[in-house]
Amino acid sequence: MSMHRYRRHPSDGLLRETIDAPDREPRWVAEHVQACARCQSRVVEMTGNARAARMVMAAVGDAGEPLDPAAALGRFRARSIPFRAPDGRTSGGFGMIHSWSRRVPRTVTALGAALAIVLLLSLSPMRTLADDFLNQFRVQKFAAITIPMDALAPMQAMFEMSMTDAELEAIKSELDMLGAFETTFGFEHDRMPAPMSLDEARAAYGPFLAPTDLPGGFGAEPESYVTEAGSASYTMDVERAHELVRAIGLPIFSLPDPALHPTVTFTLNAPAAVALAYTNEAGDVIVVGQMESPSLIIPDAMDMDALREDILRFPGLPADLVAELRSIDDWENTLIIPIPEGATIRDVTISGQPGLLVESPEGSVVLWEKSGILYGVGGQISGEQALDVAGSLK
Amino acid sequence: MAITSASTHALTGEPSDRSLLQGVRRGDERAFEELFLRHYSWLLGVVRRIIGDADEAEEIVQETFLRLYQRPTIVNDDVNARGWLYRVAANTAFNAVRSRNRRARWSLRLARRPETGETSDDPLAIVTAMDEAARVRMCLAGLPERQRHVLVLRAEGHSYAEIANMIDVKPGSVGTILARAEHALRSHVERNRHGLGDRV
Repeated sequence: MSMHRYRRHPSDGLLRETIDAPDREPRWVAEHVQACARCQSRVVEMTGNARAARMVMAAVGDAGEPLDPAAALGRFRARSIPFRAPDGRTSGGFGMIHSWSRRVPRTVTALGAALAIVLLLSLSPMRTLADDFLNQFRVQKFAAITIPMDALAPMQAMFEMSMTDAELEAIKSELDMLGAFETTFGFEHDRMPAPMSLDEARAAYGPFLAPTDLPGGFGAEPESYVTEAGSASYTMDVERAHELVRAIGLPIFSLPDPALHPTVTFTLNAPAAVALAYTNEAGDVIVVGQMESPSLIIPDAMDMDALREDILRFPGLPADLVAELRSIDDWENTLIIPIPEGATIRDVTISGQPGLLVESPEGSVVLWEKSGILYGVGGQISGEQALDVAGSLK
Repeated sequence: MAITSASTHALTGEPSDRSLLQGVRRGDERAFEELFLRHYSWLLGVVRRIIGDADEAEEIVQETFLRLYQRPTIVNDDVNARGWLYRVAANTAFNAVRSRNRRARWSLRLARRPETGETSDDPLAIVTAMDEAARVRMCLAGLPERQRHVLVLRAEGHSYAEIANMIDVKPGSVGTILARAEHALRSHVERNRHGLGDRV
């Protein structure tokens, strides 16, 4: 054995391996340690660390009952849906929805659901263009209100408990006959967009912004989804609506005179949208979405102020929620974002534009509008990370 | 702990993980089931160790397999199947532990006594409010990613070579990572000594 070997200290890794398997390590390591006080000290310290770590890890040993893998596979089969195509892609994107619904934080999902509900109830996006015939609303800014996610359930319960089953059935039948709904949106599962590459998305959607800075661990190549533009309209028979309101006893006063306006048509136009989904190995998702503002067209026959009052007076609407809605001064210019309980909101600035940041323990979402385009960044990330991603869009 | 290596499968005539994974990518349901049955119990044990809660652990493992089932093309042919399953499930579990810790901090903040103005932001107060296993899991989740993986897999009885294969590092690096991890874990625990003092 040469003096050279004695002078060369083994690495931490080699020493650590020697502690676990002294017989398998090179002989020179043992000989070196025997002759080197410094390495002896390192071995003593490492041995102590290893013993301590072993004892600590024993505190989190697997104490659970073993589960039968076959039974677990049965549970897996019960929850999964046999939609996977041979190439591994989910048929028609249904798998994407199924997967996202489980992976995207509940807060984000809840935000979307609550947003849809409030939009339907309040009809309060911004009015930028009102000609002689139409009230046309576009989104240009955001405000947040706190809505307990189950706040609307008591409304429905109260409504239903005040009537017999027969009366409810009659009302449902009346609602079916009240108007006609038409849409070009594809709600069926097999019409959902399939994931595509960034280049494919640009070809389908046109130019859009993509983040240049993502938190560590998130892949640079997203799954991209492009939804086609579409519209939905509902044409209501005003006379029938008056009859229904009288029958139920609802305090609604915004319906137009049926003699002047036998029918009214509400139309929602949604431009194409693009969503980029970035994932990390744990399955966390960051979604970057953008679209031109959708527009909601309400016939001029409707008195918008009266409609707003009707909504705010709607029986069973929680008083706190009404107070928050009333506190929005510029309600015609503001898209209401419902905030789940436990989340916090912050006014922020992204690329010089005002935005709204929603943070919760499960994730964060930031929303803003610029030059007629609505942007959103959300996922299982902190608020600061969401802002960083938002600020990096190019 | 039972290790089912590629060579073992070759000896017994069973398909290797790699060929099963290729089958899964082609949409072969039997290949998926075989992979599921082969790795489920082991993976559940590891995740239970990380997260503690048996129901939550099963949910995470089921989610992990669901991810593979729905989008098998995200896993390359040359990937170690067990390692991929481990990394996805373990990272999800560690994220859940960290999320749980954040919620615990929030709860303790809310629970502070207004008459004294006493705050529970002190990490030590938070740590002492948890049971011993929860404290260890919190410490573990706070370590760098590779270090916590090496500690968990070593505690599961895996060899250095197997660990290297699963977390995709050079075999010679495992000892170094393990030494650092053990030092860091001991330091973490000593800082949060209440209730763990007898162990170290």
